[in-house]
Amino acid sequence: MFELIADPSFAASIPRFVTPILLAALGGALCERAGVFNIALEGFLLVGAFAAVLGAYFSGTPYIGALTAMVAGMALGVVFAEFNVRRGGDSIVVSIAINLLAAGLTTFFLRAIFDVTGAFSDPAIAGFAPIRLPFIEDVPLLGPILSGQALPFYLALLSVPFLHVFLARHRLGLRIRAAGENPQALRAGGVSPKRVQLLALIACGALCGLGGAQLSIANVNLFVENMSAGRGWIAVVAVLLTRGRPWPLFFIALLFGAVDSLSFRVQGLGLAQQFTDMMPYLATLIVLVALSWWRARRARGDAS
Amino acid sequence: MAAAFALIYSYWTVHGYHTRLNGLSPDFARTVGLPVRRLTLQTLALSGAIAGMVGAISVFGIHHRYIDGMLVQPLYAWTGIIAVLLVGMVPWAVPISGFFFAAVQTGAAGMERAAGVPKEIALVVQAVIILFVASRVSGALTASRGDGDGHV
Repeated sequence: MFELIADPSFAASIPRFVTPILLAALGGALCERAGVFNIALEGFLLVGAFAAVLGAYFSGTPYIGALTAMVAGMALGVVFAEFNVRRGGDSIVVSIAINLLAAGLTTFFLRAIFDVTGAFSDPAIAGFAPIRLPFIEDVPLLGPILSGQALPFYLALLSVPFLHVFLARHRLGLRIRAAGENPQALRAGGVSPKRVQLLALIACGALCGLGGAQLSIANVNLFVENMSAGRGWIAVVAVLLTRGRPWPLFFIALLFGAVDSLSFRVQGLGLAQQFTDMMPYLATLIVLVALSWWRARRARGDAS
Repeated sequence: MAAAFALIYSYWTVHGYHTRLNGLSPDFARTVGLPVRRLTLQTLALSGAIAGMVGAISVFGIHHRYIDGMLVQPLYAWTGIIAVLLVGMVPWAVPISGFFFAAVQTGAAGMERAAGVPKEIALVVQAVIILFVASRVSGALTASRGDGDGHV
């Protein structure tokens, strides 16, 4: 079984699984820092995946697909903001509604536009070509991992330090944090917290849209009903675990992506498929429990 | 019947009273000496039991067999969550809300048979209705949460 992990192609496959989780989690992190409890990442990813296929199919290039995915994500973010931020709908209710909306709309339009049920696959869907980085791919261990991936992966990698600096130094990033930590201070400074939350949601939509594009036009070249398959929920857990901080998020997303990729490989071992499906969530649960226990111990230690 | 049970239990038994108190203010409950953790676990167990009844009803009453995914596919659990949240967890209104959602989903299945419209349209309709209704009931729901100032 060790050969499964030591196999270099396993390492090279991890980025494909990490990217959607990481992008969705980064989007969720922005919302979390801004004080918006967004657990609709699954719906955002799904909408992004479908929009990516739409764009790539009708335009013939994956870049338009990525663009439509981001636009669709941003539109969904505006919807979320309208009902949650502006109209004060409860976050959980709005999130679940958005998830249902995404599932319903994508399946509905799958049938209405492409006239298929279940999955849409067509050679005309333009997928992302692997990007080879000439010097990096010769690096002994990391080479195959870092080179030859699709564009969204590199964008995701760049987003982590970018968001870190953005939240730490940029004016809008600081406003986002203020909206989450102390909205009254923000309002005293003349900035509307609701507006900042809207912007955070739009950015979240864009990031999740890109993550969805990775799912549908980078990893494979098709759209399946409910393609996000729980990765949005894994991203939600990652956001809640790290409280929206980009670098810890990166490592958690890496871990979950690796387990996700592992669960596919382990299928070859003869375990029931249901067990391998369970693996990412089991890992999530273990990390959740372990971290909570560790934090509780630390808190108790500080108190005594 | 389960709704009636929940109503009677929540408002007319001692344990239900303790549980509601715990929900409204865990700090107060702890100060007064209620076993908070045990109450939470017992409530979770009770809700799990009631939820398990759904499976029992499905198998014994409707299908007379166990079909793989029969409870996950119709999204019973998610619909249940929003049905409850939508009416602000008022026990007597939950059956009405649940009935409404069931009606929409059944109607959509019928629409698919009659007019060829994909039954997923029910999800869209439900979602839109939830979004709009949630915005107006939020006053009651968020009264005891948040600082009313940008936090949602």
